[in-house]
Amino acid sequence: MTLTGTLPLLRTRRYGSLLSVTGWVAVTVTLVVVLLSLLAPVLAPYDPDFVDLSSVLGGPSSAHLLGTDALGRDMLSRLMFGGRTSLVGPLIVVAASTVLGLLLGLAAGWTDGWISRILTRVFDLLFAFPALLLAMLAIAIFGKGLMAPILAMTISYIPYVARLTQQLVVAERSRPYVQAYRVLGFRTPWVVLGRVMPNLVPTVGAQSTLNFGYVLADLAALSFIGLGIQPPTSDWGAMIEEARGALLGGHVLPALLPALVVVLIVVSINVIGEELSDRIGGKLS
Amino acid sequence: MAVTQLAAPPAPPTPATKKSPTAAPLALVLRKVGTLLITLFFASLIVFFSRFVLPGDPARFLLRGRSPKPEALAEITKQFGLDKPPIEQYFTWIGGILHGDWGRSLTYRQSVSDVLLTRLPVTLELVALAAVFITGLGLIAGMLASLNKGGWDRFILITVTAAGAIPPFVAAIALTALFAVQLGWFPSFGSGDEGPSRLWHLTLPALALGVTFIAFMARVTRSSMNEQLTREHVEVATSRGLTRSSVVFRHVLRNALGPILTVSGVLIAGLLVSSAIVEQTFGLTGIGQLLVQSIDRLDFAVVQAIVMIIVTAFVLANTVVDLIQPLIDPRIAAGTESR
Amino acid sequence: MSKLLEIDQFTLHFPGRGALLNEVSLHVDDGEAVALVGESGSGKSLTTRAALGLFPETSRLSGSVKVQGLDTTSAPAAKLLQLRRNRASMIFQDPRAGINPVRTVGDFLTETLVRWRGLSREESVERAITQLEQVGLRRTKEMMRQYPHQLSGGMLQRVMIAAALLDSPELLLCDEPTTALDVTTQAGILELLREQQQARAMGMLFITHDLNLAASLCDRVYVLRKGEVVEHGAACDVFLSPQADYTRQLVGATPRIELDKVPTAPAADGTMPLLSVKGLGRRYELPGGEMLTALNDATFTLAPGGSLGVVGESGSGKSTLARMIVALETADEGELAINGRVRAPRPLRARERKLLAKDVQIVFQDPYLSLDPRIAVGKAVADVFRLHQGQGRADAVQSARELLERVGIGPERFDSKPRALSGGQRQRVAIAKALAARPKLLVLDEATSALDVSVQAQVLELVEEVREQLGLTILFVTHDLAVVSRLCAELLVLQQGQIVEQGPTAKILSAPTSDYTRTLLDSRPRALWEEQPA
Repeated sequence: MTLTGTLPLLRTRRYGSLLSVTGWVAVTVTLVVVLLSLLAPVLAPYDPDFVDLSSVLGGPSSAHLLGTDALGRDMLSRLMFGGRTSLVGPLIVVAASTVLGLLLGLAAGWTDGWISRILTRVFDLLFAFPALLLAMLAIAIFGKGLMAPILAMTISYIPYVARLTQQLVVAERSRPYVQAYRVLGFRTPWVVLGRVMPNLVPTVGAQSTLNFGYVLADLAALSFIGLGIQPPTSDWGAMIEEARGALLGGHVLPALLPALVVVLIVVSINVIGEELSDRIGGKLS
Repeated sequence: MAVTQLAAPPAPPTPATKKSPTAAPLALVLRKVGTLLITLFFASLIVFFSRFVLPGDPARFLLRGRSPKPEALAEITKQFGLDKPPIEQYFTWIGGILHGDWGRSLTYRQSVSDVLLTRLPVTLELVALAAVFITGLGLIAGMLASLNKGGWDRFILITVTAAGAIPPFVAAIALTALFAVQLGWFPSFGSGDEGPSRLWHLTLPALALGVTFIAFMARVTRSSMNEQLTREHVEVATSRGLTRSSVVFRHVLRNALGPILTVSGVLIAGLLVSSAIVEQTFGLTGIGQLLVQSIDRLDFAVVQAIVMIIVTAFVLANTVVDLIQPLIDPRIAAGTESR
Repeated sequence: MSKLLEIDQFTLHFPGRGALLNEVSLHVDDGEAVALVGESGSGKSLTTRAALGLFPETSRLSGSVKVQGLDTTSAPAAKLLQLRRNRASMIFQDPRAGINPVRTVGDFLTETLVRWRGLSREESVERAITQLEQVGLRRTKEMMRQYPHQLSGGMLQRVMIAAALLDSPELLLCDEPTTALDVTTQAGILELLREQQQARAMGMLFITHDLNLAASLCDRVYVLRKGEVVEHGAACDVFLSPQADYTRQLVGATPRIELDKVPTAPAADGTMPLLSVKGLGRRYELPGGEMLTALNDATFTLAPGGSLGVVGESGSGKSTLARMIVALETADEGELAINGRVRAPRPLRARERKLLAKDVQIVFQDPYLSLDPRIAVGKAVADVFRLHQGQGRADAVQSARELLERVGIGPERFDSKPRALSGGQRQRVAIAKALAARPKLLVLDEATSALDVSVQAQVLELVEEVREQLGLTILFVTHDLAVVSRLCAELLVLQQGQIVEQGPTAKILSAPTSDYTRTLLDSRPRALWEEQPA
């Protein structure tokens, strides 16, 4: 599973300068964070759950590059392992909602009869439930943890992707080039899947990239208030919560570091998503 | 490139006999209200039947975390009508809601509506204050950015991109750390008493809640106004000799309102739900905090009620937005929805 | 005699890029009508906007643009405001884009009056109503309260003209004001403009890409190409004896009705007609419940090797007819047969479509949306060969190369994406795609209407060539009678869904029997010198 953030790199030769300097910086930041998280079991200097009460709330030192938290656990290791939980949730939600949203949006946009009408109504209904709310409801039913909110948020984000896809498909259908395919006798499934969809996927993909940031923030918020991932598993949101005591006592790092990483990742993903959107919008016009 | 437009829309050239701009406002309102009610109906189905997704004894489910003594089980069964068929349970619930009976809270041993009503004002005030910040700061920032390309624009854009990535809970912590702990200007906990004390207590929470949305509002305003600035009717107005401020107010801002308004609907959803996080963080006694606590304490009746309230508020807000749109853009009233 | 508008060596460029306008010089005297003729990219719009001091942001200027002595390139803001309010006015091309759609017509007209004339609201409304009546509009009181989307294009343009005339300007600038309108509506607007210009003795600078239009309205003409004035002089001189190569090319490319050049239909030898249409009809339901008749009782035939022009204005049903022929729409009543095969009265199945594709193909109007943006043009054409001629990949590419070469797209463009090609080139590719299926009938739905004049002439030439070489039958849908006269032996005139006249082109154009056809012919712009005896 590749992150959307890596695609531009693979196509640099064909597209030339896909992103601005800021964009490439954002990609780099994202990659660094992702790699550090992925390779945490290999690269992390300490076990993230290793409690060492003798070195509580220590600042950065040669032993602990980013210091320690209120239980003496190494911040760097916790951040790296935290990335694994914090990043995987949004990834699943975005990937699943994009795929399902594309399919449903396609069905809603290409057909004209009751299928389209029913799907549109279903989307409208799901729109009434904000993602975070549905996640909370799911937690109320299934219990705390990541599975319930991930499932719920996937369902909540499907209509956003689907509605966008539907609008794009409806617009493309009436374009002369699509009608030319029909008059030329090309089979409809081939036209839809082989020609129309590839024209839409970039736009939808760019939007999904933006959704990643929102989902990450929401899941971290759930962990923050204790409804999501449960301790002692490290997760950036939970880490911030755990560091509140230290913060009030004047020790800033244990709270600041995870907060910074969250903000940094969300900013980077947003920058990438927006630049891609602009780029793609400009290309198709 | 050559723009010799000779589009052939199937429009009959019947001049000036088309419908008046306010074709049938009553019909439109009724239709929207109808859609609202239908959506709420289906939403309530989802909220109510969501607990049936989980297999197992519903009585035990509702009593999770508490001692499942036989008397308690019997009590719960009677109270929630668990021995009756689900459809009937639903109608009892809905009927109760419409009469003001939202069930009983297991945690507080009071009627849910009592618990909710005591907490509603705080949430409303929080959201209202946040909305003030959002519209005020967001709109102004967006307008400034759009009208002053160069200096202000870049600065605002960068600030806004960064601010937009700060989730409410992070903003809450940061603001608390800085303004409450370090500087001591604002309290870091509690909702205070009615009046000025409340306002003072809610300032940081409202800001924390609003940060992401201020950013969002600023960007939407900026892009909507930028789009209008390139429109030909703006150039025409300028060519006729209108001053810049007249052009901006009468032709740019006015036309940019539509998309901004649409976006506000989505913003409200975010506000209502994120307020739960902010309330929990600042210890404010609003319904958001109640929601979180009830999930924590497995008090399902309360959760159900609050979710229903939030969904209703959200759908209501969107309906209001939809109803205002035709007033801003008469083309929508006439049914030719385009921009 | 002071010049009303004097542009002297005016150059406009963006830093780091080439000049968009290069040392342009022109002038308009009081009461004089001058035309500025050019194709897209010529800089004619920029030049006109310069007269009002409307320059693109970050552009660099040199030279001078003086209106009654005031140089707009360097005038202070206050003076510019005065110029725009009192001395010069501009009429823009698309009134639907130019009038704020969320405000009423009345608001549009009175906003300037109220603001600095110091007129009260009632007085402004009075003034506006008077002006509206002067430009030929009726029910003006009601109109003041209406919104732009409730009025037709022609009416809106009159509103725009009324707004421009409200302050009695001395200089009137017109930026292609009739390009977005039907031919008959256009004639009315031009007449209005001419009338007002003479009555008020205004100087007028009229932009157009159409030489005929320029000749019908103006005494003098400037020809602009890529930001430079290539020729100027009296209209009849420039038109009848052009000096510059470009002007000659432009004059040659401008379509004219030349009755002796009309092609002749193939002899009627009793073979089955390629296309046979009987009583064809189609209705739409509009939002709001009304039924619109797009086409009613259309009956005609087209012999193999023939060429039929379908002429009408917007709403005539000509596009509907074209789309029905290629099965993009289904008729509600009547019968349609190609090569004797009667069309089923329902949307076609995949197999039927594939069969039909070998009989008839279509080329659409919009060159920018007619090609898949993601696919290289060579591949797009090769795909058709693979589908219809059953060729393998390598053969298809070869066939595609040859066909593209034939339509004027060289091998260096084979792998280009559509966005790298110009409008004319894209239409050529669209034609190649259609031809790759080896159809017997080619339908062209306003295929050249969106192209520049000179490009249009080239594409029409291509169509003629291809028709002769491949023995194609052509059905050309257009609003332009001159194009039809050049390409089609037979003609069909549609008005609001009804065929009002049909028969040999030459006969109809020289002696039309229907009033509507006569109106269409009369609406064509006629050069000023042709109206008066020399």
